[in-house]
Amino acid sequence: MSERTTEKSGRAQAGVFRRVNRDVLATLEKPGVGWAAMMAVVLMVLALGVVAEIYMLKTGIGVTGLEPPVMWAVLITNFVFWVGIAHSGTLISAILFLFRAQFRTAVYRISETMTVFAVMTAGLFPLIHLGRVWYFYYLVPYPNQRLLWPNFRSPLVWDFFAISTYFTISSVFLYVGLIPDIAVARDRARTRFRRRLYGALSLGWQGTDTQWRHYNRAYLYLAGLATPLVLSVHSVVSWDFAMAIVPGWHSTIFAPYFVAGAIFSGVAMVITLVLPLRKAFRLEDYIDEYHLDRLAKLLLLTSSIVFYAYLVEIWTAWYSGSEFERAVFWDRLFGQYAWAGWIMYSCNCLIPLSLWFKRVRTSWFWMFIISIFVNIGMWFERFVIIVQSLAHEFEPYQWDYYKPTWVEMAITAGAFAWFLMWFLLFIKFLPSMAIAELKELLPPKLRRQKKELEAA
Amino acid sequence: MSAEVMERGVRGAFYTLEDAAHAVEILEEKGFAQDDLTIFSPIPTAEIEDRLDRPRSPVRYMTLTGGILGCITGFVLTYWTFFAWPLHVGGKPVSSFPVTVVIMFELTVLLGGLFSLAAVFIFSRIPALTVKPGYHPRFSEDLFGVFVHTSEEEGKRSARDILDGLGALEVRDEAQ
Repeated sequence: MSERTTEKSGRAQAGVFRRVNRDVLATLEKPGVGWAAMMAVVLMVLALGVVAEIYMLKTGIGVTGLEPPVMWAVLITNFVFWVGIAHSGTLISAILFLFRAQFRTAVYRISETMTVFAVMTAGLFPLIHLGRVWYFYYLVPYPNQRLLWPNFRSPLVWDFFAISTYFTISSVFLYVGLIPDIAVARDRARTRFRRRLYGALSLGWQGTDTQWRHYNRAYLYLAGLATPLVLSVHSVVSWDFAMAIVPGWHSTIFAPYFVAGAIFSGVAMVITLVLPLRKAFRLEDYIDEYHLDRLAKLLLLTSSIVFYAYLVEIWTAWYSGSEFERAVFWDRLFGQYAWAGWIMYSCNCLIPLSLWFKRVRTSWFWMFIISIFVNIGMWFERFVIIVQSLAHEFEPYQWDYYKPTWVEMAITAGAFAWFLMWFLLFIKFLPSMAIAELKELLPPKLRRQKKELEAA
Repeated sequence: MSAEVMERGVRGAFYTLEDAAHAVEILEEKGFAQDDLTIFSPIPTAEIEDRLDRPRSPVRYMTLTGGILGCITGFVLTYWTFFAWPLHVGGKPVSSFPVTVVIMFELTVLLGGLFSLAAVFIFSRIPALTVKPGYHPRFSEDLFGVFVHTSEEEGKRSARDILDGLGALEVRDEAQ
């Protein structure tokens, strides 16, 4: 290559790099009316959830619809749903990193933040469900005067370890990934407040070869550690159910079934969040049909696994010859909870079948709609597994029909608002795309632009 | 700060990482020590590591230490608990190994991850309160920098000549 061509190519690269900085940092500009309006709505809904929680704390857990035999219901449904949502973040950032899947670069920061905020949301529910929140420290193993220690045979204690590890490692992974990008924001900050904020958060990062060398290694090991963690966390959550003898729960396929479901719901949530973000911040050149198609294929794959698991579950119930197992699944399909069961089957199995068509996979409108349906379907999957199984246990005289009260509904809505509040704050204060990695692996449209600049 | 303790050197900027890495190779050939050369890069490319023949990052040992420590902690915590507060149920043994595996695994990942984070901090020398000499905000944007740490006039002149000769965009003396 001649010197002239090299210089031209270098100039073109620098031009594209500047553009990446400009476009991604534009998301940190002063928020507009749309952002403020969304935040106002989110805060109002959150306030409603807080009021419901305070009312429950003051009155007692009787204000929920919980009564024997359904002692786990919407609150635990929310817990499992949000832990599931948290899954695709680390899948996209860690597992796809190890597989060198290039499409992850544009969306992994958003999914990582989603992971951290979803775990923060999920973590609230075991505490809320306790009723007497102030006793939650009983779960923590520490030397105490009562000489009590946790019962390590209980899956709930495993869950405490799994979720807190997942939250810690996801946060570390997110922060380590953010350091070089915060340094970019620091170098371009216009206000004193931002300069100080990013200056402190970037920890004096300068991108020297020594720093990158250790950073790249640590990032690789973190990805390696996070990969089995992703698979373990939802397996452990599934054992909260599978270790019990309740018909509909006591199954060995629960771990892979829950992990696939978690990734399925998580990818759907990534799509739900990424599409409006792309539109609002004009990131069309960074997230295009190529990324959408890849995410859609991931959604289709996990939907197929979930579909298969549903069929296996029904088949196993029939093949087991157990009257109780058969009764639970008959009830799920045709009984009092059939409405919830069919919402779950339609949203998670039938609607995603449309993703076999490329036209659907690359349509922004249809992908957004499908992702919403999947979110609804996966919430109902958790509801059906938890509530319907408990409501239809062994003895017919125990069977019952659970109805959530306004308190549980308000807390559920409040949880969505809590999650969105953090997300809205994040996109205005920290880079929602991985600037340094985007420069390394330019998205297809920017690669084309670089070539055009070189030719010019 | 007095002039004596100021760290000085020569900084050159390049459009591409290849050019910056090439400059470092030439500088090393001309007798500059590896420790006196720093590359600033806006991208996390592994090429830096491949081109520069630097020692392998010791982060791996920290991660391994954290993982092993976590695994042992998980084992000790659960087994100690089994016997410190024995729960006798249906004549079954008070200890249960499969249960221990879950806690051992989680703590392996937890401490392995935290030790890796600590390793980045320790080996990359962050948090840093002062900016290293030679840094320029454009090194986080679109340019790659090479900084030669040298306070002798002769060294500086030689570094300037080499960087100029390699077509660096801007060559200047730096002091902090």
